[in-house]
Amino acid sequence: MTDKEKEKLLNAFEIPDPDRKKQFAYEFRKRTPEKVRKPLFPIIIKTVASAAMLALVIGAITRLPKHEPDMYRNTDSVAVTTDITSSSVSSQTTEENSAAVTTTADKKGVKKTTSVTQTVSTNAAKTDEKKTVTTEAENNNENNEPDQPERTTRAHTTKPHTSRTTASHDIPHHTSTSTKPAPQQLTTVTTDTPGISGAKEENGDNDMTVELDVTYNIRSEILTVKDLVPGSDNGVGDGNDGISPVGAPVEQMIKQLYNDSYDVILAKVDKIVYTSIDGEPYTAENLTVDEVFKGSLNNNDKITLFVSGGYMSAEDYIRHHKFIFLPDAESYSIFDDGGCRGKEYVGDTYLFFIKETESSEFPSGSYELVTPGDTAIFRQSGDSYVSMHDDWLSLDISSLY
Amino acid sequence: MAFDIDEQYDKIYRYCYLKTKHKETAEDITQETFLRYLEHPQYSNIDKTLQLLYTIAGNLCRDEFRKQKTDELTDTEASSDNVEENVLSDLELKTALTKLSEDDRELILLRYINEVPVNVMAKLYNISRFALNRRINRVLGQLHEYMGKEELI
Repeated sequence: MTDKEKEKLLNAFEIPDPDRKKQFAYEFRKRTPEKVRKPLFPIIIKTVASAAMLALVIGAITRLPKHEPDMYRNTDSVAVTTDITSSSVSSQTTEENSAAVTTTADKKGVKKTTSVTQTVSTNAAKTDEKKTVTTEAENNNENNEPDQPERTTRAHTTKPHTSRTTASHDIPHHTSTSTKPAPQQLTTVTTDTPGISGAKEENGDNDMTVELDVTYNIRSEILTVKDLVPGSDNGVGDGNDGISPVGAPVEQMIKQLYNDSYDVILAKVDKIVYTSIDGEPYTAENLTVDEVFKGSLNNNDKITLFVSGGYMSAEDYIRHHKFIFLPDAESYSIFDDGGCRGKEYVGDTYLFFIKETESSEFPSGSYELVTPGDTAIFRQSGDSYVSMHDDWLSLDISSLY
Repeated sequence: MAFDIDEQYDKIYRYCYLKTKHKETAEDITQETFLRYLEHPQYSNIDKTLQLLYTIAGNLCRDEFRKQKTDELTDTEASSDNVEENVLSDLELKTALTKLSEDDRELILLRYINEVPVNVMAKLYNISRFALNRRINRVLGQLHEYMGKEELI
């Protein structure tokens, strides 16, 4: 909603201005400066965690065997433990040039299990080496678990030392090894680029999908929220879904969608998973960006978008809605449309108006639509794109350029 | 302090005025809200802070309403009618707003003028976010209908 519309709405309420605000605010500030108390529980947790870390470090130090440095030995060799997803040694040179190392950043609350498949091929006769690195995610749930994220932040190139200990995550399913490994570039797709570039982001293949703590399969018995709570409205929303309460033409609404978005992208749906956030069903869609009209995302970036509505297990729903009684809840899935009218399909491409999730209940780094429901998802219809929620809301994609 | 008193004073005051329809009473309740807020453990999280403020304000408005249930209420209502009559004008938005129920107007005020986050509003109304969004959509639909879907400039 624009400031102008907000002002218009406020004027429409005709609320008189308060008289005593300034005086009260002054008095209030005098009373409050030191009174803010931080919540206790996080402080306790932080203290305990710090103490545990300290104990660990002290224990590690005291248990380490004492090593007296030998001044006459070569101390240049350093044992390096890395998780190497690709190694590189030039086949043409005697000098080992570098190793590309992927560091996977461990975010709080995000678990990563990643298997890496490497295919390395070299041609001794050529300086340019062709290499293939494919990263596959390990799926615990066959049906609908999104791809496990491998957040590659930066590939560090380091000169290999005389002694090195390496470890990889999992045994690749298929690996062709050569006697002379070639310089590799760390990517998730096949690349012919010679040398070591390192950073995966250079090709725009930035996998920012998030892992979900809970996912649901759809059970054979489905109940809607209306079935559970008679009188509650399970129908899709009417009107503009919060875009503009004061009424606006289509062009203005599209413009507002654009302005409110952090990113406007054309993206393909890779995977759809049903999950819940704070006891409410959400659909997590893993997207691959095809085209960017606004924002900092790049082509081929992979993100997770949370769309309101979906399926969740009845027992989980009831746990968060204690006024509902449902015997044999384990047999049911609960469906809530979340204000959505349409349905996205895996493999199809849509236009999304999105922003990064603001609430801490969502996984960090995930995205959500700029409006409730699916008004901000557009499907192609002929030469134009039409909102999933309202057929009359359409746009010509060339207008976004 | 997790909030700006200048900003939140206006918002809480508007909320109280909508409920009480009396300027002085609304301001009294607003100030009482902030004073009572100081008696509670204060949160660094803004959502929880807002939830606490609006809960206190809502309870105080309810208490005030019960207190004024006798003849005073009639006077209050009459004065509010006068205010509303003064409010009415050619503008379709104002007319459409008056046609909404009090609860629906409160919803619009909280969501679009006070910009209370949806999750906070859902907790205040004790309904799910989706249910709240559906309700807001329904109210917006009604508003559009009353305005005849014409753009206001």
